[in-house]
Amino acid sequence: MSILLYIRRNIDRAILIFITIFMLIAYPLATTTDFGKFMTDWYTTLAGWSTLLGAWAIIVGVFVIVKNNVMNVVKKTKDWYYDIVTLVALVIFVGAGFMGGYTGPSMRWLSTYVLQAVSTALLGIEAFLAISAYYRAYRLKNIEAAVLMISSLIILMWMGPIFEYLIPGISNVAVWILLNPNSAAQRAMFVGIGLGLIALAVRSMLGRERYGGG
Amino acid sequence: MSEKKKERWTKKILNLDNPPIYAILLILLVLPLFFPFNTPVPITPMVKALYDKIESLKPGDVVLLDFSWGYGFKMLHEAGHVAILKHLLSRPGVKIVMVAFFDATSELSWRDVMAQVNIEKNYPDKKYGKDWIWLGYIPGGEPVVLGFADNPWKVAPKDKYGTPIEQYPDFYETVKTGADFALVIEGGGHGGINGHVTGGFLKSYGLKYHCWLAYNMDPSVIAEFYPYYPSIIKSMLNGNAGAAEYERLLNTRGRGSTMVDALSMSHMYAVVLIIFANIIYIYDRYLERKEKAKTATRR
Repeated sequence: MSILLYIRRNIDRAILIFITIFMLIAYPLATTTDFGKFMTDWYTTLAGWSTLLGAWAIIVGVFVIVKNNVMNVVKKTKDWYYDIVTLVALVIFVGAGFMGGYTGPSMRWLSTYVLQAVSTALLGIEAFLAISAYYRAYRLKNIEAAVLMISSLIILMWMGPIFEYLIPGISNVAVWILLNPNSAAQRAMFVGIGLGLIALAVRSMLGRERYGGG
Repeated sequence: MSEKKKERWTKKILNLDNPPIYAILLILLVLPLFFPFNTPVPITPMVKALYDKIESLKPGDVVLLDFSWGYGFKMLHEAGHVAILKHLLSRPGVKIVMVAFFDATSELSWRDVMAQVNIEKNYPDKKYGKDWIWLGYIPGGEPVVLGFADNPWKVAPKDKYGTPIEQYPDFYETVKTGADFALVIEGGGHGGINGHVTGGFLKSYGLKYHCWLAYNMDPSVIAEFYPYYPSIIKSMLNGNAGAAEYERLLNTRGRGSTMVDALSMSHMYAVVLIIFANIIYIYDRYLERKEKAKTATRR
C-alpha cells in the first residue's frame, strides 16, 4: 500500500489524534508565557470553528426534520398530524427569525406568547406530576425506600423556606446530606465517567471505536 | 355466585384519583397570589457569600454577568438576576460585562431583566461603555465559553451594537483573561454540571482560573453542584428561594419574595402528603396482617 493511500485512509484519525492532543496540552496552559499565549490563541480559534460546525449541523438537522416530517405526512404514518404541527412551527419560527432577527418584534412575540407560555405550562405540569408521585411512590416498603424517603423529605423541607422556621436546623441537616453522601456519590460517579471518556478517546484514536470520522 | 370482596377504606385512600390531589395543589398555589402571607425567608450562607463578595468589590473591578437561560425559564432565574444586577449597579465604580451563551432567546431574557432594573432611570450615573457593556448572545456552547475565558476579546471583539471593545478601555485594558474578572456569575445551570454553558464556566472560571464563581441556578440541578461547593463554586442562588433571600439582603421585595409563598405552600403540601400516605400505608399493612391471621384461624 502506498504512503498516499495509507494517509488518505487514515486522515480522519490523524486529525482526531492531532486535535485531541493539542486540546489536552493547550487547555491547562495560562496565557502568561509566549508559548501559552500561542497555544491558547489557537485553542480559541479551534473553539470558534466548532461554532461553524454547529451552524452547519443545524442546517443538516433542519433538512432531516423537514424530510422526515414531510415523508410522514405524505405516507400518513401513525399520528402524522403532529408532524404538520412541527413543520408549521418550524416555518413560523424560521420566518420570524428572517423577518426581524432573533430579537425582532415577531420573534419577541412568539417567544413571549408561545415559547414562554408552553415552557411555563410544561414546568407547571411537572409540579402536578411530582405531587402525584410523592403520594404514590414514596412508601416505607423497605430500608432502602425509607432512606430515600427520609432524605427526600429533608431536601424538600430545605427547598421550602418556611420549614426553617417550623423546624429550626432542618437546613443544616439538608446541607449535610448534600455536602457529604450526595457529594461523595457524585464524585465517584464523575471519576468513573471521566475514566470512561479517556478510555473512549484512546480507543477512538487507536481506531478501535467508531467515532465521528467513521 | 361469589360476592365481590369489599375494598378496605385504607386501600381506597391509597389509590385516590389524581383530581382531588391536583385540586388542593392548585388552590395552595393560587391562594398566595391573592392573599400574600409574606413567608419568612432565612438567609443561607450560600447566598450571603455572594452579597458579601459584591459588597467587597472595589472601584475598577470587572464582573462577568452571564444570562444563559432560555426565555422559557425566565420564571426560575429572572428574579435572582434582577436583584444581583441592582446590587452590582449600586456599587461605585464596579464594571459589568454582560453576556449570554445559551441560546438566542437568552437575549430576550436579558432585555426583560434590563427592563425591570431600568438603568437609565434608576442609575443615571451608570454609563454604557464605561460602567457596563452587553456582548449579546455568543453561539458555540462549551468550546466558546472556554475560549472566552482564555481570550475574551478574541471571541467577542465587538459588543452587541458592533462597537469594537478597544473603544471601551476600562474593559479592554483591565480584562485580558478570565482570571481578571473579580467575580463571575453564571445564570442558568441548565444541563447540570455537564451542561454546555454551565460546564464550561465550571471548567474555565472555576477549575482553570480560580475565579470567584457564583451560579444563579435552576433548583432542579442544584444537588449536582454541591461537590464543587464551597471550594470552587463560592455561591449558589437556588432559583426563586435564592432570589427571595437576596431581595431580603437588599431590603427590597421583588418577584422572588412573591413566588416564595407559593413555593413554601407547595412544599408543605408535598411533605404532608408523603407523611399522610405512609401513615395510611402502614395502617393498611397492619389491617392486612390482621385479616390474614383471622382467615388462618378460621381454617
